[in-house]
Amino acid sequence: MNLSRKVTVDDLLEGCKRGERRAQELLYKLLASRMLGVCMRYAKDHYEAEDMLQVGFVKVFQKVGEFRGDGSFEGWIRRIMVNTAIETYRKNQRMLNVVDLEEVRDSPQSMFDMSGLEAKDLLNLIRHLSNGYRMVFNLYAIEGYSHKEIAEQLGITEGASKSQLSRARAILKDKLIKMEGSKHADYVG
Amino acid sequence: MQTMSDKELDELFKKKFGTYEVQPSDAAWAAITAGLSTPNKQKRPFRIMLPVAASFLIILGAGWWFMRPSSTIKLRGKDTLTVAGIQPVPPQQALVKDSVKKESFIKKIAALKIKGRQQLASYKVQSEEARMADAHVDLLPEELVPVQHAPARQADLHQSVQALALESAPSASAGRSASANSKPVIASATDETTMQGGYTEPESQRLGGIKTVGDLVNFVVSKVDHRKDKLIEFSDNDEGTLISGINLGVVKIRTKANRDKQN
Repeated sequence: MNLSRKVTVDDLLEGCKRGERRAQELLYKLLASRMLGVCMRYAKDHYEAEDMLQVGFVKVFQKVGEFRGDGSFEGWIRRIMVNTAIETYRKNQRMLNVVDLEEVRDSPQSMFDMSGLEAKDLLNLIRHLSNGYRMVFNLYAIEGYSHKEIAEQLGITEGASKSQLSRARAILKDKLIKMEGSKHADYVG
Repeated sequence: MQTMSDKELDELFKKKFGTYEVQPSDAAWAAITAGLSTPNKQKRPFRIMLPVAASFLIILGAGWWFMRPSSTIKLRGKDTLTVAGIQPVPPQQALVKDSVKKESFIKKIAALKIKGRQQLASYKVQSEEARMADAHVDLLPEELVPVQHAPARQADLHQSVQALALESAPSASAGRSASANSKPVIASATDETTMQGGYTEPESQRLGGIKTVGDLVNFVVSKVDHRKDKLIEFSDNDEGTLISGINLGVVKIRTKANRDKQN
């Protein structure tokens, strides 16, 4: 599967543009697990992550005609997933107006993890962040957005983006230390 | 780890999540296909626009309905219709009634306010001609206030109306294209006025008496507005020409000098 993945994704582009259900399903099967991994970082739990995945893929198939070919098709799909996550975050902010500060929750063991323990641990750390901190950290540290772009996307100031990133990093470092400490009995700080 | 820099932290997370994959549930694809089958967002903006557009059109239509001119003013032809100052018609003018459709708000007010005078009968004659000859007549004679007529004047009127009805019948059928017979300029109003010894207009309203801009305006207005109180009147005094009267139907303003002159 890995050998021909890239070629296969590109090959499915034309079929998806024509709205062929078979091409759409093949594209989904090729990219769904990776895209769900992206959504899992943004969502507060697995269920919200799957919602983002479904909404994202519907958008991909509806807007595939707008893909101009500047960049990879997979990269374009990934950006749609990130934008879907941002929309979900903004909608939740408007509706719930809830700020869940760094509460410690015991995350349920993931049943679908395929790539190792550490990624799962880091995921738990990220989910312990509040929604805003998690969003800013994901966009800056992993997606590579600038503070200006983050401010525009989230409707906040650049200063708020910087301060939230700083706070998120501090919390993650602190938790990493505690996590490492719990794993290695002879850890020396 | 304690001294991990921000950059190292970012790199750690980026690397670990770079190949992170999670298998979605079986229901996920079914939900996606269901989402593709029911596109409803496109209808929403259209649905909102329909009542908005309809309301806008209704408001436009209502505005047009109330603001439209209720009569046509032409500068030529016997089928010219004089407007707001139309005088009341005695009930005997049955010929006229048939051709009238309706009266504008302004004309109703003007008709109610205008006090009948014998001299103004000539304008009724002309308007009656117009009503018979032109399809665009807009007066309801039964709603007009009756004028105090001398019996002789009524007889004159009746004869004139009949005579003109006969005369103008061909021109009515020809429509707006006026024959030589039915092409009097507005100046004919003045002619008929003088013929019937009618309304005494200021001297300056005759063509020969125009000396100032105010006189010119008065002349033009007199050809169009046949009410006693004109839409706008200018008078000359020692200081020059100034407005001595305004009549907008619902609002009438006259300077003291003008009032004294008229009374």
